[in-house]
Amino acid sequence: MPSKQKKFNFTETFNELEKITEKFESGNIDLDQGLQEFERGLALASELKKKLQEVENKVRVIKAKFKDLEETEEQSDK
Amino acid sequence: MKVYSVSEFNQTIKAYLEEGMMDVAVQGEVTGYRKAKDKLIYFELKDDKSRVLCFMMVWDLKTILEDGMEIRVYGKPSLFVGSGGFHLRVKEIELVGAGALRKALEKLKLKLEKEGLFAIERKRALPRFPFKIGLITSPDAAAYHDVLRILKNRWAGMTVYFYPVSVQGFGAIKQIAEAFNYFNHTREVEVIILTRGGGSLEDLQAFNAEEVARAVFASKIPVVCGVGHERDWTVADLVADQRASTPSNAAERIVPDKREIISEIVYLADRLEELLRQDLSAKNLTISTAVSRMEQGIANQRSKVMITITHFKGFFQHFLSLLEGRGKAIIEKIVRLKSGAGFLLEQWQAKIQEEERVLKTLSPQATLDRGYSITRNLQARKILKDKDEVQSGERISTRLKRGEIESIIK
Repeated sequence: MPSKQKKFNFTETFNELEKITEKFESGNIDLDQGLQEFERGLALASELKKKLQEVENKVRVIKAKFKDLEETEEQSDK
Repeated sequence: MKVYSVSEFNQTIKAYLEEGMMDVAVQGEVTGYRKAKDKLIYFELKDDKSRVLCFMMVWDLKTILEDGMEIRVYGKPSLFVGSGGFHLRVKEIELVGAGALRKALEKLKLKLEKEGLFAIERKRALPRFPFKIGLITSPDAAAYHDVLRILKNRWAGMTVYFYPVSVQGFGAIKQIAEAFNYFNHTREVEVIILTRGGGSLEDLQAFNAEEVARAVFASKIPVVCGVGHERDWTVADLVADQRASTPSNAAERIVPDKREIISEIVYLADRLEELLRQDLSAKNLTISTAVSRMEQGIANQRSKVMITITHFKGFFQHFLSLLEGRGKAIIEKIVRLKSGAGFLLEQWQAKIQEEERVLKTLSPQATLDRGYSITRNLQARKILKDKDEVQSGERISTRLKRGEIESIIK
């Protein structure tokens, strides 16, 4: 699982899941390690799914003139 | 009444004109176009009744300009303090009319293509899963809502950094260029969408402007450009890393469909489980094969031992029975021997006594007892029966009834 200190990175997490699967595909799984990696793979998959089940997107409007950020939570569909 | 000096008067009117009036847009035909000192541009705009002098700096001119072109200028009315000449201080020019626009556009495309701004090799891949997206468009346009709607439908948990700009008309080019500057300066976003709805060639001038093209080209962040329902590619489309056919299409190109990604994730997780199971059952099979082989081996050994033992038992029984048979024979023999032995001894003793007696009668001792003697040649170890059997000097022995005499022949 992505550690608490490090921010969850979707791409890295997805890549890791793919890598574990590739490793399994290639055979040669050490039994102990294989079980650990299997568990990790499942955890990664659930993190990824969780991220994609988020509903809201944030829209930050940048005020051009002053180039500072004003954060507004807008509904993304109107 | 206040009396002005000429300079004061001109200054005052200049200030009055510049401060008192908003930016204006004036459209007309170019005439008397000329460049001075490499940085000043003068021309007149005319219609069928009037003309007005226009003045601008070379760096504000973003397009080609020739006499006879129909253009729209943006700027403020002003006055040259020295000559008192009234003019329009131009900040931006737009070409009017498809002919002029197309001509300018083709020229620009050729130039930028030569410089390599459209080169396929420099097009970058978009990030696979972007969560921070820069959006450059007008907040009033349908394009803005289209993009947000598609992003929401397809992807999740992202932040859209929206930089509102005018997508056409005065200031559009500059604002769009600034937006690119901003995103490249802050580096918050992973990909930038530049988009607007469709329009005439005139409406799309900002997207065909050299300054915008260069801003897109200079962007370190990949850019997707989408102009609504256009058959012709704008210059921005050509320079962008990807061209989308509409604003919605731009959003589609930027983010994957979460349903697909979720099913891919589910597939990966299932596949992991399946592979692990396969591996486990393969290992199990190996183990059980090995175990059954071992068992088989042990069973083989055991049966060999059993066979050997059985054989041995058989042999042993046979041996025992043999022993039993032989033993009986031997015992019988012994018994027989025992009973026969006494008789034999008596026989042997009688035989020996008889032989002693015969020997005694044959022995020369009896003859010697009667006074005879036996003479032997000691060299030849022979009993002498003839005088020729001995020579002078040889030794002889003569046996008497009692004792022997040695003599030397003379």
